[in-house]
Amino acid sequence: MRLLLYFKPVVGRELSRCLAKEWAVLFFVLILCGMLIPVVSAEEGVVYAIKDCRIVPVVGEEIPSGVIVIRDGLIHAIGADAAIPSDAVVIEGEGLIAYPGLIDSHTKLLVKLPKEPERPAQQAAASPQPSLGKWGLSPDLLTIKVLEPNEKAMERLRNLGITTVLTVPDKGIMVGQSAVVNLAGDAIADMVVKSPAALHIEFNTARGMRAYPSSLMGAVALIRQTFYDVIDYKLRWERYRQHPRGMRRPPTDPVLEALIPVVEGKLPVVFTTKNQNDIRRAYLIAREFNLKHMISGANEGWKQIELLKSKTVPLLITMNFKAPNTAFEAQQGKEVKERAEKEIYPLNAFKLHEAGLKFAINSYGLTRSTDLTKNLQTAIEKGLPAEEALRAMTINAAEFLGIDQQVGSLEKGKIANIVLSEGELFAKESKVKYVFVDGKKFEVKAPKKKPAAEGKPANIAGEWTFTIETPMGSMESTVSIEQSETTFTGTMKTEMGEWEIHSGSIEGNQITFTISANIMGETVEMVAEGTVEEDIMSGTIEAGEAGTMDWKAVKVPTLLIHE
Amino acid sequence: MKRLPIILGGIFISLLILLLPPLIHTTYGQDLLVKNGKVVTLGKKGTIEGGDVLIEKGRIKKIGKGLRAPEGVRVIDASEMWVIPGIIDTHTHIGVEGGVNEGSNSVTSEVRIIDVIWPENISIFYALTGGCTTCNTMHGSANTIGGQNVVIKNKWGVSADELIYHRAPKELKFALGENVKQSNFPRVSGQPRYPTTRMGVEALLRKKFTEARAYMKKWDDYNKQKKAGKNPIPPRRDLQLDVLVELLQGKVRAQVHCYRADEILMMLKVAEEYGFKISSLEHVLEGYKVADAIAAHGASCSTFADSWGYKMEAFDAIPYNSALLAEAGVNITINSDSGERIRRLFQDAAKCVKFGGMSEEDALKTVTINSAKCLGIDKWVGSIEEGKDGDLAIFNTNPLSAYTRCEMTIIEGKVYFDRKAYQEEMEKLREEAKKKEEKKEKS
Repeated sequence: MRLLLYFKPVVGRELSRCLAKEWAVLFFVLILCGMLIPVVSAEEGVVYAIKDCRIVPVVGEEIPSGVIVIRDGLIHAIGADAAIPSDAVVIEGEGLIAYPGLIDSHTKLLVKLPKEPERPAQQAAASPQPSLGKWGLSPDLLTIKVLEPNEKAMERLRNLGITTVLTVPDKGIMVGQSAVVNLAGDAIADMVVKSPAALHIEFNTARGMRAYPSSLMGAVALIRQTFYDVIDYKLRWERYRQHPRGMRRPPTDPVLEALIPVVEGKLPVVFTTKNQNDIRRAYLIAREFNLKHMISGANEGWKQIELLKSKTVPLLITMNFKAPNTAFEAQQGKEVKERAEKEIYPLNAFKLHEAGLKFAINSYGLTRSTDLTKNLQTAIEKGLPAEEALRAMTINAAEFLGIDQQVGSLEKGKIANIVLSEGELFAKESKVKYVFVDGKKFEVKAPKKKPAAEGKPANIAGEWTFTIETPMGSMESTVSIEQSETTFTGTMKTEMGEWEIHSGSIEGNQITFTISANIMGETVEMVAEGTVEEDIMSGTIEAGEAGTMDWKAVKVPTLLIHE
Repeated sequence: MKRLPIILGGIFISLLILLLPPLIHTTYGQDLLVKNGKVVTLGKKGTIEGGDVLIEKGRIKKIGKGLRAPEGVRVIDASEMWVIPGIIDTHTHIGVEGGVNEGSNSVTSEVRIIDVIWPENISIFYALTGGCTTCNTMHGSANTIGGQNVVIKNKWGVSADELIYHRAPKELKFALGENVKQSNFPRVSGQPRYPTTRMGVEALLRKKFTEARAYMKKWDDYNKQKKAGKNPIPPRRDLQLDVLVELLQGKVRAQVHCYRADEILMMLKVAEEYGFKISSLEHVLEGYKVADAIAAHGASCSTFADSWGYKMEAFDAIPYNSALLAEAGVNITINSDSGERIRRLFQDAAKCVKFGGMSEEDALKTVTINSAKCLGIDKWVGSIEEGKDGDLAIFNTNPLSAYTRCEMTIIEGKVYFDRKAYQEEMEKLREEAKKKEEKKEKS
């Protein structure tokens, strides 16, 4: 009613003075209203109350039966007797356990790098060293610039209870600055939790003929030289900024510029380590340049336990149990290697835990990032306590990545990333029922049951014309398969060379197999599944984060030679 | 019979289990008494029949007869055995991860083996089985200046840092001739890498040393200004030139891969012109042609015993090379250049007796004390002398005999290879695997 007063006729100067004052008040009232009733989509506005569920908050005491209220994407209230608001959509949580959303601390999920620009062939050695910015040095690349939402890929992880990932490309040596994103949304801008999270360094080599560095030791030399160059660059610019007059200005270099926060200790470095020696290399470089750093991968962490214990460095360990080529076992033939992958490598997390080390867990190097929880179950079977596994995938990761005020536990005010599961989260028979990401609800549907395989296994031995529908058009190849009852192997002749098909299995007319593709000197594993119908097979191939591709194969008829 | 592959597989896996444990724990400097062997010291004490060597905290404490072991110290009976200093290989590429050549450039002095030591390389274990305790693991020979080498002790089972022999001086690998010209490699992408001739190699060396001199001057000027109380901006640190400056200052040893007499003389000339010393010439198959020049410069020669004709520049090689060089007063050593021949260096040494009429003792020296001199570590290893590292190799008979076998290899007082214990353990595991298989078959 008071609003009416504003329009009360006032005379002369009084009028204009009054209007100016009262309109300003009105303006702020409107702003206030705007804050109270945000303009949001229907889903985002929904208030949820999960009731009667067991709550495992990770930080703080477990609540045998309680309520979690989600409002505005945050945990609005949590507790044994938190009030259920009248506007809430109530979710019956009886028989369910609530956990914080899981964090995968190193993936390349959603990364879509633009095609690499053509590199000039290196000049003869008499010319100076190749310039920076090429040869695998892209510390200035912000991962958020090369992310594309991919609902299918995100759903696969959400269904496992993973709500947040650290993602970064893996090509090159200084691969870029990573981002932490929540796995729900149509726009990257709304999904980002933290960017940049860290600078990532991998001990890779540059690809291509005559590219520097072509060797591992060259990569280490390049990393060291680059950090010395940053120190030099920083000093020159500092001097110049103090006294620009009378001093020739130094050249500007975006690559070195991006590394200044790193040498200043403001941006941490994550070294990806693929064997025990990488861990040593990372320590030596971090020590030489006094870097704030983390170790990711650490698949052979137990071999460097003394080193890891000597200094508290955040560990982001992988659930990839493949033995690296440098492993002693890998030099002893396939059988010994595979046995080590079954019996030794899955023990890594347990051994690091026993040594009193704190770590987060990730899917780095896994062909299918969805194998993360499956392999985590194996690590738990090998001795890693389940509650430690849970901490590793929640609060530890959040603390290491500097996002523990936002995610990593179920606490009031934190982002509503919540998993509701039937049974203990990492138990084999458990089922994730609901996942909340930024307060958005996702119901996990039971996977479609494949029609039960019937009868004896299909016969697929022989030659096939095999077509894969890639994002860049269809790729045709010739596949020859050797079958022994329910298993098979084969070769795939493509334009890019001959690839191996292994781990093939047949159940009735359902088949699964893995293609080891050799693409420009790198082995990429792709898992395929499909159905056989006499002389035609078809199905899908999962090629990591590149997405899912359809394939179809037609049997090459055996020629009947008539006399 | 079908089961045989499975049993063999089981044995292999057992092997793995046998060899794994040492990968985890580490030890340094142990106590040990080796008793009653034929001790060939290759040092002042000569050869002692029925001699004892007492090692304390990894160092040789005493050499003599009738020594008594302090309480709790392990005693090894070496009766009827020959005890020689641990064998040293001056030229190998074992234990290196991710490539030995940074082949993208012809000068890559910035790269270091120390960054890529690979402790799980099985060649380190193979080396032990032939009595080899120390080796110089180096860059390949694709580049004019390949990079910085490292000397390691073959302590199978320790981590990379514990393998490094920190007393060894820093070394830089050079290479000359056909490999550097890349004439032994297929041309790639139609663009040859500079240099492609021997004269190009020489020109590139001079260019780099001239650059290094200029770089050294920049730093000298900077240090002078700083001393004078000014606040100058330091020159840009260049890892490639850093090590060349250290070489010019005599802090780094130069090891040069070479074959032909002409390129050897070229290298000696360049070194003398720029004022640095070449510590060793590697392979040096035509060394005998210019032995006097090499002796005058004072470089060691690290060569093959009798390898010949495996490429164009190796056709003038003769098996008398080592004996002739030794006669001219050159410190001569025999190297393996191989992860396999590294376990039979004593046999290569024996060839010097056959071909050059070297004395047996001198022949043994080519793989022990001479090698230590070549690497600048003869104060600590290479012969059995009090105060030196307790690195020993024990053979069942004269190590130069065709029937010899290395029985035990000891580094700093710790037994890293014991053939008898190893074989017993293998036998045990084989039986276990067999029993397991039989049990399976029954059930």
